[in-house]
Amino acid sequence: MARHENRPETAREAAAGRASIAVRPEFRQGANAGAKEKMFEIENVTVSYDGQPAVKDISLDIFKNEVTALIGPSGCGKSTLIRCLNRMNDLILGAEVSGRLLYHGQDLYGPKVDPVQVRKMIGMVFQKPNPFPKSIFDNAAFGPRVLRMKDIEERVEKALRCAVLWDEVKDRLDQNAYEMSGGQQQRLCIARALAVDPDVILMDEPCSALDPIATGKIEDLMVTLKEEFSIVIVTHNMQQAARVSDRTAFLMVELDATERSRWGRLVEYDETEKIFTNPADSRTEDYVSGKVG
Amino acid sequence: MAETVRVQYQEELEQLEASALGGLDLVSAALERTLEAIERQDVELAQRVVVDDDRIDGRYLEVHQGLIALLATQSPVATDLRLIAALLHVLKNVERMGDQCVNICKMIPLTGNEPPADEEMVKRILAMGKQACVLIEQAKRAFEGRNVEMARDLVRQDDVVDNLNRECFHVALAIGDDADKREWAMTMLLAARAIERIGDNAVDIGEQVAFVVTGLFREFEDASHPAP
Repeated sequence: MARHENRPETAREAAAGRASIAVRPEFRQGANAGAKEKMFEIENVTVSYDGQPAVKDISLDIFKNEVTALIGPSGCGKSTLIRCLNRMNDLILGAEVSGRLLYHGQDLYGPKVDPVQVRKMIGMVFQKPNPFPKSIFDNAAFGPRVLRMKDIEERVEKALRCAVLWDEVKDRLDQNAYEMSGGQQQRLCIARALAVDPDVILMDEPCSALDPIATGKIEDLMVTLKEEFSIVIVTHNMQQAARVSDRTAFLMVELDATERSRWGRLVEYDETEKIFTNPADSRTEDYVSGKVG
Repeated sequence: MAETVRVQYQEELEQLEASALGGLDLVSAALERTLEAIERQDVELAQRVVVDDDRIDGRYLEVHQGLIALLATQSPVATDLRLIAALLHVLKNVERMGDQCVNICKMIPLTGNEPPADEEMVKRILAMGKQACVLIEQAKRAFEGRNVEMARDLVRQDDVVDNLNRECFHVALAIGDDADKREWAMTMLLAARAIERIGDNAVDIGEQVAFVVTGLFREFEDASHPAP
């Protein structure tokens, strides 16, 4: 190996393998991003509630068959951002989304786009398991029935198998979903989302109400599911992001001069391994290593 | 807005780093006594170095345990993770350097009370040892200051040790036909080799400095594929 040069080398220069070139962190996607198929292209997206921005100028690409994690402190707009991806913010009075948000290259907020169809393709799982007060079967069959799909039984079995729940519930499908454990309920909610053949699963803190064993099962599930689906997850648990995601976006809270308004801003987006071993931005470093809260 | 947290964890990590690098002071002291033992053919002093190596080994075990506990309980990432990985390497280097001193000191009684010492050879071995002490001290300063340039300069400093080692070899070749003298020279070559390894371990610590700072591990010099 060549002898050293007599000059200091910064982490960033070393990572880039060349002299430092200013790169806006929000446009860094990681080394292998070029070859990947883009699922979402988020360009300068700002989301406001009653005119007050909740996240500002977010730009990032989300790739197919990957788990993408959104991390950051409370109030940084992670949930706001993930809810844009299946137009859940449409349901909130006063919410407004500006910028461009492309899904498979098409404008997700275009005038001809049906939000119900969007939510079929882009399913969502929430923090607290929220099964319907119905049987296990009826929960998994709910979406296919609403959408008048065929072969309901087959779909339900496939969805429950995909959610690694089938073996646990196949003999009690008519049992009320409320009688299941929290972890099972959450996997049922995932099965319910899978039953309508989605393309993307959005997960907003899916394990925060679960014990470590149930959390482990959901995390294993995510790794399996990404072979067929794309997953975007919001999590407070940084180790969870490190364990399951391929790419991680770090958002943080920004304040205006008066410190009265605050909004979320994307600080860094890169391959998860890079974020957790050698992040480019010192604010990411401080957050992932738990030095600031 | 930002509030510093995990203060205790940071303090523990700082203490472990200080302890690991403090191991280099123990090695410097052991090497200085080793050199004194060679110069004066002091078998008792050599024996003390062998016994005192337990302190270096104890430091290794204590800091190693502390680092494993931090890995298990604190989930360190980013710079902290790189620092801990580097310290685990440094600990091993410190322990190996201590063992090289022991190797030398175990040879000293074998050469007898009044060995047929060759002045030229002894002079070079002592110079090698002193230069190795410089390397150890510089490796410590480079690590403490996260100074990559100073760490890379260790390669240059180590060249001095390597050249002296080669000179020792040539002195041994020309030592003459006396069987006792030749045996002594062979033993001293092993001592020179041990000091040369101490220098290499100091360079390895320098490579860990670069890893902590840049996040990339690269050998400063690849002994298997030297530059043309």
